[in-house]
This record gives sequence, C-alpha cells and structure tokens, in this order.
Amino acid sequence: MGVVKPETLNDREVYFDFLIIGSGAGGGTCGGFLIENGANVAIVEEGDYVPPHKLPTTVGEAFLKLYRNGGAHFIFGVPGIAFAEGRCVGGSTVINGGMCWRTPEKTLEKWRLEEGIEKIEPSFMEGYFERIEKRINVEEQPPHTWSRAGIVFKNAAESLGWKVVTDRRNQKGCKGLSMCMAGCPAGAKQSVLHTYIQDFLRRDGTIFAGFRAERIIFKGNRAVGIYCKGGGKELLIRAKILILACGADETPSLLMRSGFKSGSGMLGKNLYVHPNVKAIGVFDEELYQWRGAHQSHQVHEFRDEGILLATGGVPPSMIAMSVEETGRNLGRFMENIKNMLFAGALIEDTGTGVVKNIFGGKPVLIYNLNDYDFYRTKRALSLLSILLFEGGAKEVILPFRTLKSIKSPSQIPLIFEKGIKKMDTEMMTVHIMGTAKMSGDPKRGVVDSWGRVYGTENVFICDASIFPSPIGLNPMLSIMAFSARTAEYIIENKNRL
Amino acid sequence: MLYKMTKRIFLALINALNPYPERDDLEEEVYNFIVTLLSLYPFIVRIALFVGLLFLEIYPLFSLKSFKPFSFMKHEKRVKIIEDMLCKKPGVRRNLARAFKALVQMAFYEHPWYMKKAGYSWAL
Repeated sequence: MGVVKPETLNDREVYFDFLIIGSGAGGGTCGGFLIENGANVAIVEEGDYVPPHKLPTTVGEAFLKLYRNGGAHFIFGVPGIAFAEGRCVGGSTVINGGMCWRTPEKTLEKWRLEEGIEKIEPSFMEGYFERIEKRINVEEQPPHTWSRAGIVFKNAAESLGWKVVTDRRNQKGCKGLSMCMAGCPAGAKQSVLHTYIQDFLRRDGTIFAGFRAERIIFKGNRAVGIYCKGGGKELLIRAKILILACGADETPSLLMRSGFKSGSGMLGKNLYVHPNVKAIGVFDEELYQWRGAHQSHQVHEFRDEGILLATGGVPPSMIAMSVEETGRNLGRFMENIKNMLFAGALIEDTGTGVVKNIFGGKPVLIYNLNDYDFYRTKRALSLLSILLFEGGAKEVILPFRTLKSIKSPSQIPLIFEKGIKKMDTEMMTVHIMGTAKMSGDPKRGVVDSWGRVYGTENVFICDASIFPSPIGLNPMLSIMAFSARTAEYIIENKNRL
Repeated sequence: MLYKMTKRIFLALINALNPYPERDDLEEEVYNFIVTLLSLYPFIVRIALFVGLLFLEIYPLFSLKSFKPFSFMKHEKRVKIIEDMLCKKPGVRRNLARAFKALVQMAFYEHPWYMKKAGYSWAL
C-alpha cells in the first residue's frame, strides 16, 4: 500500500501480521528486517512522511516538519532540561548528528551480569552491528568535511595527551553543511528514512503516516490491535504481533494509557537522559564552525568517569536560541560567532526520572539531577574549559546563570568554588532511555531478554526504553542492533507467538 | 479583537527582542513565521503562551508601576522589561521570558536575510 496519510485513507479497519508503532531507529530497522524475511508488516507513525529529496533546508522548517512539538519539548525537574526528538517517518535518526557507536562491551557485560539478559555477548551482537553499519554506511568522518573548529578541538585534545577519536557516522558523501538536525538537505546522511524505510517501501510495506496510536486493544494477555487517529479519522489496525518503538517517552505512555500494568512496577520508571551541557570558546581566529560537519571528533579520555566531550556545530538560529544575550546585545554577540567554538559534554547519568501520563495520556517527563551527576557536570565543564583554553580561546562562556564566563585557565576552579546551584545550570538532551527496562527477571524489568513485554504473549518493544542503564555514547546504533535482534527472534518464533 | 490584540503584543515583543533594531522591516515576517510554528505546538503550550502574552502586557504595572501596557511602551522600555524578567531568579517570569526569547530569536536567525549574511546562501 506504500505510504497512507489521513487524506488518502479509505479503510476504517485493516489487518497485518506484524504491526510496528514508531518508525525511528527502532521501528524502522525492525520493519526493514521483518520485511526482508517476507513478513506482512505495517508501520504506524505519528509524524509526517517527508521524502528524502524533500527534506527541509532551514532549521525553522525542520522544526515544523520533523520535530515533536515543533522542537519545544521539556523535561521537568531541577534543573529543567530542554529536550528534542524527531516526529516524522525515520524518527530522530532524521534529525540527529549521525554518530554511530557500538554498545560498549562493558555495558553489555553489565547488563548480562546485573539483569541476566541472555545472548548479548559482544560476539553475538557483532553480526547485527556489522549488517547495520553496512546498510547505513557507517564510516569515519572524512577529513575534508572537518570544520576549522573541529580541527582546533582535535588538536587541543591531542596537545593535552587526551584520547580523541574521529567520529563514525552514517553518511555517504557528506558535504559538511552542519545541517544534520534539519535532516541533511544534501541527502548525505543515511538515516533510517533513507535506508530501512526505503527498503520497506520497495518491498511493498505499508506506512500509516500522520496517525497517532491512541490505545492498544488487549484480549487477556494478547494484544489484538490498536486504535489510532489522524487528521480527524479513526483507524483500527488488527495484528498478530505488536511491536512498540515510540521512544522512551511515548512507549511507556501508550502502554499506560492502554491500561497495561507491569508486574515489576518499572514501567515509566528508570528514565535516564544523558544530560548535556555546553561551553563556548571565544577565539581570535575565525572558525566558522558551521562550515563543516556537525561533529567530527569526540574525546573519549574520560569515558570511564562517564564523561564524553565533543564539538557541536549547529546553525546560527540554534545558537541564538540558547545563549543568554538578548536584543541588540545578541546582535553584537552573533557578529562574533564565526570566532566561537561550541563544545559540549554528555554525562552518563546515575540518577533516574519517570514518565507519567497527564491530560488523557500525554507523557510528561520528570527528572532531577542528583548531586553526583551535578558534580560530574561541573567536572566536564572544567575539562572543556581546559581544552578550549589549550586550543587558544581567550574566553570560555559557561552555561551557568551565576558564572557566565571565565577569561583564563586560572579561573577554572571557580566552577567548583562559586557555589553554583543546579537550578542555575542550562542543560539539554537528545537521548532518553530506560523506561521499559529489559531484564531476565520479570520482577526487575518490563521486557524479557528478547524485548517481549512480560505479562503479554505478543507485544514487543524495540527502542531505547529497553536499555537497563545509560550507555554514555550516542545510542542510535545500539537501538538499531537490539531492534534487529528482536526482529530476528520474532521471525524465528512467529509460529509460537 | 482578540487576534488583533495578541498580534499587537507579539509584534511589540518581537520589536523588543530584535537583535537588529535598524531592520524593523523584518518584524512582520518574523511574526508570521512564529505563528506558523505555534500552530504545531500542543494546545496546552499555545494556551500557556497566550496567557503569557497577556501577563506580559500588564507586567509594567508590577515592574515599573506604570499603567501603560507593554505593547504601548517605547522600544527602550520594552527592552528593559524583558531584561528585567530574564534577570529574575528561576521561576515563572524568567521561564516565560526565556521561552519568548528562544522563539523570537530563532525566528530572526532563520530569516533569509540573516542566512545569506552568515554565508548560508546554499540553503535559500
């Protein structure tokens, strides 16, 4: 049937063997693997289908077409955390930076030992990683696409003797436009939209785009279908097997508003967010960070501490949204952005939050940063400051309301000494996970080792909500590998499910 | 009438946050862009922004003890009010000002005039 939008919908009730809700890293990949095996599959996606050749050319247009809530999403707590995720066919893979890292071996080992998850040894997962990396064309970011800012970042890290790695990204012929978060107008990013979704459509799969799954219909322990709405129309989709891939906010929300209760009590809990903070180095040299790849290098020196450092080239509009200056002062500030290097730190968090439903089933995310993670946030910012000063910055702008900038390395200790509060810290994230935790023990998790929801016979989850803990790296490839693993399990066991 | 009033307050807000006051001719286009963007926001967010705009309109009464609404004030006074809200301790006023600021400033720096100026001519 191809892509069915509300305006082209003729049926009120349809049937498929497999129904996937969500079309991002989890759902899109799962759909690609299932249909490759000849399955009769449909995908339901709340957002629109934007063909790869019609992706936006500006961030504003991207917010309109590709992001949930037009880009304005928020995690409540102390501090409040700005959050962005995709809402389109292809999900967040269309708007992310495209960094592709395999799940760290120590994380897989931790999940195996602590949660009793079977068949996640690195040797077992390797095959999935290899197949996916080949399909989405994961390769090291080529040097000709590195921005001058990226090179300064890399050189400074090397000069400090820190371990710096070139990003592995899913791209083919990257033009270095720094517009990954608008979906890549050059068409170089090999998102799920460009790869598995196109495979899915070529093999005659059906995508219901613009339909929100309102409720799962359960009959005993079996799900028999879903009710969805879109463009004022209602649709009932019946299916033999249901796969949820709506993300770590919407997946638990859908289960909760369908009246499902997890025996472990963990549904919607265990929310990890990979808190991000930024630091901006002001240089004499003109860097034009947005003339080059969004990100070309990461510092992995402090990964054992749960700290990842990287550059983050974003278009001027996104910079303008996030800095303290306003009005004419912002105009002056923006005149100098060509001399600025935007860097950021990702914290592998230890505290957890929750997802709750309000107003008839809309998910709300609540997360309070704990003291240890806040300490590591300050440590990450001090490391970024060291790096930026090493690279030649004459000033480092910090994300604190009470310490806006420092002008020399001797002022770095102020980050710890100034009594900065969590509430005064500006944070954001693009990774949420853990709200339908995978575990070999039904008392500890929401899904079993293969992603099947405990207490159901035929409902699976294929997104970041199954991760028992944060992974400290960009999670796209991990989500895709676990989805492929679940898809193969479903195919192998379809007659028993 | 409600539409006209909302538009008037929004345009006053855009004027106060304009990073390039000499280019006030861009403000109407920025307003149109924001209205399109807002149509995608959840209903509750749109209601909150609407209430926020009304609050902004009467805010001078509390901050400057002035009976003149925000949208009828001079540019300098409007700027002062927004800066005052942004400097408050974390809370409703500051968050509201930050939300307005993010929305308006993003819209300004998405404008083709700036994109071209910043060397983004490929995108136009």
